Amino acid sequence: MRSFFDELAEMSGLPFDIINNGYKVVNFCGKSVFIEGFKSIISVEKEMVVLKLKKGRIKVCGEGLTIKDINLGQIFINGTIFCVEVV
Amino acid sequence: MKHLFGSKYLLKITGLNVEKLLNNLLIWNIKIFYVKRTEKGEFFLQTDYKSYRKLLVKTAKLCYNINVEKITGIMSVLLFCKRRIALVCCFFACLITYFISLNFVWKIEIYGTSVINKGQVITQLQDCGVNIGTLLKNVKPSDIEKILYTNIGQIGLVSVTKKGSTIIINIEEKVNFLENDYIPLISQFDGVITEIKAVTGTVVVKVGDTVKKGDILVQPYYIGKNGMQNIRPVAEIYADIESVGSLQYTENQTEYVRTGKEFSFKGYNLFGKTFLKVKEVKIFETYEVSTEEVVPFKNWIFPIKIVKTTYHQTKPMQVFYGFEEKSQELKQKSIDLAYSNLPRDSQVLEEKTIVSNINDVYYITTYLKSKRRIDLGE
Repeated sequence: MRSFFDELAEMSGLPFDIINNGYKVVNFCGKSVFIEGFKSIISVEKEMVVLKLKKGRIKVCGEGLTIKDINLGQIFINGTIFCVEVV
Repeated sequence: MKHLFGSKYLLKITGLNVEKLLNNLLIWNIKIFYVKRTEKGEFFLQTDYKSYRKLLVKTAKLCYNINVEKITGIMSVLLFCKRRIALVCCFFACLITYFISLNFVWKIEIYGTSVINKGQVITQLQDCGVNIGTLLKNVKPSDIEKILYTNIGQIGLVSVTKKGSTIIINIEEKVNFLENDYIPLISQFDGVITEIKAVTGTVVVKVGDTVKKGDILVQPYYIGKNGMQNIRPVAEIYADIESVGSLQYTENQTEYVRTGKEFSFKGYNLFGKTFLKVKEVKIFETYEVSTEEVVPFKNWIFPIKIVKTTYHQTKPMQVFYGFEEKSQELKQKSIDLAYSNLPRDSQVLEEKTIVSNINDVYYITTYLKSKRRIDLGE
């Protein structure tokens, strides 16, 4: 997956340190969201999951949200995703 | 494999600030899946056995309630067995008994005996030391075969096999030839030979030969190294057999019609016996006879019947019935006649009906060609 994101990053033309140290969000048809690069969990609810980033927060709003898989820095959220907001 | 043998623990965690616990779990490198929040301060999550043990150690001094809701996988089976020691012991005892008992003979099956008594075979086996409860490794099939073949004279062939804890004995008895078996195979029908399948004996005909009923097909001997040896002839011989159904028909036919003149005679019948009958005299040259019974007394007190015999004078008359009108009926009769002459169990190969006219007489002939085994009768 890293090489895929690296390829996308190259195509985007953004500087390397931003790509390497920032966060990445992949939304799969509004049914699942993959977020990489978060620091910690702020809150987990059925309708909202809030994660802390290096700078700011990322909010996932939806219905029936469950964390399918979680590691340090990577999280897979399943459910009906309405929006993904960076605050 | 991991999926099949791995265990999953479904945990319910309640307490304050559960999000902080989740973050700590990530830091402690404890794997968690399917994290779901149900109510405030209550979480469900899944983890594997190793992570669960680690989680328990790490959260021992923390104020969280961790309950195991469900366990799936191999751990659930182990827990089930741990709480039912007796069942596990019985299961292992059965398993051990089964594997031990596989080494013994529990059944002896004997096939192919009709003349030979099964008890005779079993007695021989017991003399060899083979019985129910004997160790299987002590049973040597080849030795048993030799002993049975030597001691029981009626055995032609014998095979002994071990299958599981059963000993299977297949016997082929010797065939006793009687005097009557040394007779040749004779053709039961006339025909032309089309197929020969000989098993024993000497075949004296070949494919294409015409044979008649009573001809010898297979002689009851064969010529080997030791000269001529008598043997019961066995063969299947097929031939083409012909069957014919023939009819004649003339269009101009003579029919006798009544002229109207008649003469009657009366007699009386009681219980099937005729009496007081007038002697019949032949009056007409050509005539038809009709008989009538009359019961004079209806109340059956006197069961006498009056039998009236009437002679009707007839005269010949020429009548023309065209062949075309009757042809279908005649052809069918000829075919039925041919089939009635055909031996049973014959396979009809060809059917042909020929109509010819010679001197105003129609000849309707049906030929049937069929195939049948001629060494066997009907």
